[in-house]
Amino acid sequence: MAAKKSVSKLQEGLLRYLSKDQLKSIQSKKIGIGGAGGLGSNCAMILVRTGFEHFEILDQDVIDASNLNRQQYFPEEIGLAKVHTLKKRLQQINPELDMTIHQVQWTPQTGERYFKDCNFIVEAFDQADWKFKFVDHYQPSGKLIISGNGMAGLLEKKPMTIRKLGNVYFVGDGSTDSASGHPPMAPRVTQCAAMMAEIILDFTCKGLSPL
Amino acid sequence: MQIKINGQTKTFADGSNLEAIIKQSCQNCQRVIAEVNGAIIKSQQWGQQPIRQGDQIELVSFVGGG
Repeated sequence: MAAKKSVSKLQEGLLRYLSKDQLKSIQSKKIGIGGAGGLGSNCAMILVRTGFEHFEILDQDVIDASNLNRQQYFPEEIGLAKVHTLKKRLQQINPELDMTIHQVQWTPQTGERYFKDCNFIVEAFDQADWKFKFVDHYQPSGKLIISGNGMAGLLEKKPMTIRKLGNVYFVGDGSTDSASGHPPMAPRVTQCAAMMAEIILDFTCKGLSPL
Repeated sequence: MQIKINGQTKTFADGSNLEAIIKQSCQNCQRVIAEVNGAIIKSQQWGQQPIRQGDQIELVSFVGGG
């Protein structure tokens, strides 16, 4: 079957770089992602290529022309739901993915419904208020939270770093605000998403427990 | 008293609690994650969280983009 062949090809390729135990560890983790835009779609793409197989992703939006500069979507997909489109895209890399998607507006009132059995939770929204509400909601769970905070910028840029507060890792420059005229462009948004994915990989492969 | 906020030493009135310190330190206190000596303190507890000489506080404000 094509699906089986595809997944074996991904595994075959990964096993040129990873031990079986490392890949097994990667495949045992589940990642929750709030937002399937610039951070979420890129982070998910990187994690799937890295071998992660279990995901829960939520986003209420449909694809817009303004998303094409940095998100994992194509022009002919404008108007389609991001979560459904992303799931199809990621299944092209690994048809065996276990991926739960929700096309919903996340709120603190509904937050308990999601990510219950996830090892990691990725905050990948774009508006500051929702970023805060999301991190503030899931932080007491004790799970490892990774939040993208400050990756916009074109003419004014600052280096992105990782800051750890308790069980929350903040990735970004912490200051360039897309709401203050700093545009979200592919190089820095993708860089931030990759740094977020790397934290998850580090915790997974170095045997650290995020729970 | 002197405390460290995001690695920088600053002076505040003795007896200040976390809420007072954050109000003097952040432009938008509505969306801040605060950590005192390695432990995150929820905003509902800021007013009851005493701060002492030498404490280390880390504050993160959120900005848009994603």
